[in-house]
Amino acid sequence: MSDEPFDRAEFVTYFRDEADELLHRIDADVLRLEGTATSGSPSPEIVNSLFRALHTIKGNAAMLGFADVANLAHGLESLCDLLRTGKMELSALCVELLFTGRDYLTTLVAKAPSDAQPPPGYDAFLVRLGSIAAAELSGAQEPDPASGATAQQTQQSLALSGSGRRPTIRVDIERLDHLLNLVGELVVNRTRISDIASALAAALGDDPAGKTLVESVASLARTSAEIQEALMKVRMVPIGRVFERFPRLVRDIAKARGKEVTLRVDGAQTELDKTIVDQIGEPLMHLLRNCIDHGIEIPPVRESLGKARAGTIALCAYHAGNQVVVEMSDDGAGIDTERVLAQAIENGIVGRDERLSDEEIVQLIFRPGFSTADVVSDLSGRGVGMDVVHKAVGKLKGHFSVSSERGRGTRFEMKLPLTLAIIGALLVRVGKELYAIPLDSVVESQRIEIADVRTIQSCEVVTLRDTIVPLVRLAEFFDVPSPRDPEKAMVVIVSIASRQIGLIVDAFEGEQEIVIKPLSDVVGTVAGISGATILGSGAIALILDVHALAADAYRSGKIARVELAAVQT
Amino acid sequence: MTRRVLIVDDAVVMRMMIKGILAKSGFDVVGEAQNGVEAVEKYVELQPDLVTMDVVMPEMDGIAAVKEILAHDPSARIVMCTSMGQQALVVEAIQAGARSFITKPFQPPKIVETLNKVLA
Repeated sequence: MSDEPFDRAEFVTYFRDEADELLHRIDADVLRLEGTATSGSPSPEIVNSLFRALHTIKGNAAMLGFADVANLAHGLESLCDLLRTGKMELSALCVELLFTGRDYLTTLVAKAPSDAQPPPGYDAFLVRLGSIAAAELSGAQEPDPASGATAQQTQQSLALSGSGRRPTIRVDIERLDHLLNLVGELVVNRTRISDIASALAAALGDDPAGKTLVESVASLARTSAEIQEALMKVRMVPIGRVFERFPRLVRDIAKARGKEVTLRVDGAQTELDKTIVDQIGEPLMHLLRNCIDHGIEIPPVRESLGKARAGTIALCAYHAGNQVVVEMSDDGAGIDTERVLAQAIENGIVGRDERLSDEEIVQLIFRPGFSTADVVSDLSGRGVGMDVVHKAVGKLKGHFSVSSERGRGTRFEMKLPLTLAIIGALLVRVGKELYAIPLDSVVESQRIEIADVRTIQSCEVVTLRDTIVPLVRLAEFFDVPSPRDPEKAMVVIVSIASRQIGLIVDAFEGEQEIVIKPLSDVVGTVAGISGATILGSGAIALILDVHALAADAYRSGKIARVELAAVQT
Repeated sequence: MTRRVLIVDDAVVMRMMIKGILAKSGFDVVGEAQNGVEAVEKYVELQPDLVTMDVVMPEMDGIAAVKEILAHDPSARIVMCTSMGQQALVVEAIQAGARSFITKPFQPPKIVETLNKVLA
């Protein structure tokens, strides 16, 4: 087909995007069908939706010459046709066929357009599908006079379902990324030009040109802020896109483990930057698998505990300030702190005589090295690659926490930023270096008297409003030469989970929006630093990762363990 | 004279492909619709010379849309785009007043030829 006046390759990406969406819809539809399988007659609305999705995949695939995809979609579509014309009963077999077929479709779509062999079992499945459909048909050879009526009903329900969608356009994400980068530069320059304009205006004194300059620069700044905001919105997609595949996943894993699990999803329409949505799927899937594997008990155990046979996993997303919170909680067994601690001691993560609160023990599951393969299999709590999830969330500048109650269940919480590219930050100076502290973790900044600083376990703390706040001298943490002020200190209080710590700096340099540039691989990862930014002045500021910084400080004993200290004093 | 075409199909990819083929063959694609309801609205608004109409679509299917468009404009020229295995629907569409049909997957020259014939 080399004489085609259109370029096939050009459409393959679009084909895959659309097919992915449709495959999710197929999943959801088959799941809903399975729910009604016992009643025998499926809802025409669901079957029609399923039929259309398969039909569209078939048509698109055929146009692009993906014969395997088209053939399979055609076979499944025929099955749906039998269902919707009432020539075939909805049975467990039928649901199984649809699920299996859908899996083959997914594999094939991902492979297209490679001419590789279809996945093993594909041909046999196709034959089976065809023969089942044929067997059903031969049982009802007569052209069914009722099918006309069914079609009529079908059309009615079609007309009723759904509402008009607004026209949309698909854009390659790379173009948006490029645009975002450009806007990033704009934001940087906006601050710089504002500074210059103010300086010039001051130098010009009473000359009206100065005032005009400042005004027009301000207007420019407003417009660029609006562009930035609008672009952010363009990149926002509902997190539900990720959730869509979970009902099926939960069903499959639960079935394989002989467990009964109900998944409740809430807040699927909550919007996040596409990059984050794309990268949050894997970690969430990991968590789900863990909840089912290790959290939810098998039905007899649950019944003996007086719980419902089926465990419940609740997945919900919501906005909280300029963050999005994704929660996953289950009503399973909870984390067995004694066994986690025992395992942690055995693995040498925790010293034998260390005293840890239950809450601290639970956090151990995030430690790399905790989750070795054989820990996991016989540990009735969790552990499978939790450090992987922790790391993935950290990479997205998010925060991941867990709380658990024995016998009642476990709750994981991810706090994610709305966007990755531009954040508000407090700039501080330490020696000659500039650091940017993300505003979302800053509680307050203030001046304290050195006289108020006490020492616990040879670490400095200060009492603020009846709370003991451990202090970290950034100059010492980063090994930056800076003379100590004997009388006073500038402190930025940041919150980490439920704790607060104070970072001692030399000076506050104001708030600013910054564009995050990741540190290059050459530099490698530096504890407590998540990236860098270029300021309006052209200077470079390192962006603090307060969670990593606090964790590192706790580990190395540079910071007081206030919880323990409070108990001991 | 450029021939103004409205493309109706619920599949984005299919619309893009048809659009690509037609644009390269001297047609002017003036609009796209993704279901029957939109098709009728767009037809009334744009008054195209020709409509390519998918059959299986949400909200209102292609055959119902053909009927509505013809009720509005009896001279409307509509070509059905159907997939394999929908002969019965094609007959219904032609009876309802569609001028011709093409079966997916179609070869680009075939659709151009069919459309030219209908417009002649």
